[in-house]
Amino acid sequence: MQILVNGIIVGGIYALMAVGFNLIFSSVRFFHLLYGIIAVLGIYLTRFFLLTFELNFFVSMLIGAGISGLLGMAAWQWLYKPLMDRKASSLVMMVVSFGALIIVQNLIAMIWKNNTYSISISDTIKEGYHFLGITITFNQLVILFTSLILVILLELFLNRTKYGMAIRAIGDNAELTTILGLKTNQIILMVFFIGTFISSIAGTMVALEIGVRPTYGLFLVLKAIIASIIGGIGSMRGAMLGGLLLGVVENIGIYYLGGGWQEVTAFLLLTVFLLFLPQGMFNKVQVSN
Amino acid sequence: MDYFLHLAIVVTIFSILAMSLNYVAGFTGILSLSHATFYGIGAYATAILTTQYGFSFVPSVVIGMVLTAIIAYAASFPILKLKEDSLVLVSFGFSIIMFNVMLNWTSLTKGPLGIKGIMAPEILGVNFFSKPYFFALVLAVAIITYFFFKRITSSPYGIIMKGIRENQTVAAVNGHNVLRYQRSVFVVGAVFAAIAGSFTATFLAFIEPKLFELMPSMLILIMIILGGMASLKGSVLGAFILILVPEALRFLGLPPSILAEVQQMIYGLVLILVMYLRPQGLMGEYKI
Repeated sequence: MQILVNGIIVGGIYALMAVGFNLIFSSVRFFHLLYGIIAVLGIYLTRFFLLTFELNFFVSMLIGAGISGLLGMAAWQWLYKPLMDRKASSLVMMVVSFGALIIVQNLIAMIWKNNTYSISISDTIKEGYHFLGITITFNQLVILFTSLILVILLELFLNRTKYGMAIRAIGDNAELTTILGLKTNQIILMVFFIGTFISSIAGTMVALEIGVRPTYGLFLVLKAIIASIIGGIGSMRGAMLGGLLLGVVENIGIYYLGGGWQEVTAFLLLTVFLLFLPQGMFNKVQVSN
Repeated sequence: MDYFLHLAIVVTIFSILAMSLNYVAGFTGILSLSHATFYGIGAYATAILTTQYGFSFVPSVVIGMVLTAIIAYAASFPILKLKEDSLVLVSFGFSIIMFNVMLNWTSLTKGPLGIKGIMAPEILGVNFFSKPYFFALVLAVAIITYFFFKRITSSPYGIIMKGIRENQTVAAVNGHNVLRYQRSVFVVGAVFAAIAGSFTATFLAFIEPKLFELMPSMLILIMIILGGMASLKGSVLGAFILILVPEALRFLGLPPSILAEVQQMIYGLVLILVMYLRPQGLMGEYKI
């Protein structure tokens, strides 16, 4: 039972990462690997505001996420768009994205050193809450509620507003959307902002739970990709369920096999899905062929 | 002088790796991120067999090659079922899995501690401990590798490989068993990576799982992307540039604490620049 709860909490973070990733993927159709490291940058910024200006945790989280969101937009406008205009293949985009990831990761390592940092909300460590034989720490509760609130807000935004509808329209058919007279580029910029904003908050949640290192960027984006593929890439609800499933399966794996095999369970799950259910749980678009 | 020989050996070993990956990725279009894993299996086979079981160098290399072939053959089933982006992901996943095996199977691989004291190769009574000898040996292997791949890729078999890269459906319609071709290419490429691994193990005299993680896999891939897809000479050139340029930074007076970061940033920059300016690489035939 405790494994399940831990799995759901970690899964909640993965779900957030996956939702943001999916949002971007469904409008641009390539693996935006840079996503992971911008989220990590967001964590470092959050920590910076938290420590230097002694701002409130949530305020610094929002500022950090906002700045990362802007960086996400910059990445689209100046890094990806020139190549996309030349009709580069998705593989080329992925390679470029990876190159940028390496650069940003090492910039972070140069500025903040290669150590593991953690973020805490309050100065004292509180004892976890117990009920029904389960222990939940205060941080975990924060993670759970933040994930829930963000997901609900995003759902409302995508389904109830004009902009949300435009974003979904681009996900379905970008060319047709342009023909209809929507400003595709502005909408994609918005998607990058929202997606990166969410990822940065999800990253901060990771930092609350296990801390942060510059190398976590790739780890985070891979988890987001795995969760999206499991859930069915292009589908928001699929991404959420995929994230939760990934979290739970990983925790079961850790429980039975030991912590060293966490990544192995994640990738085995991915392989199984790609081989036997390539369209994921909620199919919308298949990942190549 | 010793330092230059050291660099020359590293470049030669990476040339073998880059050529063998180019055979898989450039000529046949299987963009695999698991090459460093096969490199690692070869290295570990030699390390374990020579230090713990008293094997001499040549049999350990042969066993490493056979072992790699078997593992690569098994791994090719899930990996080759997929295409493009998902193939990259699963091959990457495979390398993560194998990395964790190297890290966690401590009774065999000593895990993160690594294996120390690997002896220099001795073939037919000649000891290759001194650097000039060792360099001559790896150079010979690299030249054999070059002509081996050159011969294969210009044979009818190689033409079908390129056909598969260009259009799998057409190749299949022409009656070629695409999957079988891809599988044989994948296994042969992996076996050559294993040979390079055996040499690395004896050269460094110490190996640890970290040497065969994602970054080396990426480095080999960056080499062939820079050098050019489907160009063996390009791969050698790529290995040359990507080993020597970061190495040259040592003489620029950068503080040693940021040296590693700057080196990696160069890799990233190379990737972006190549994709922007010359997507087919310096000497490549086609764009990825």
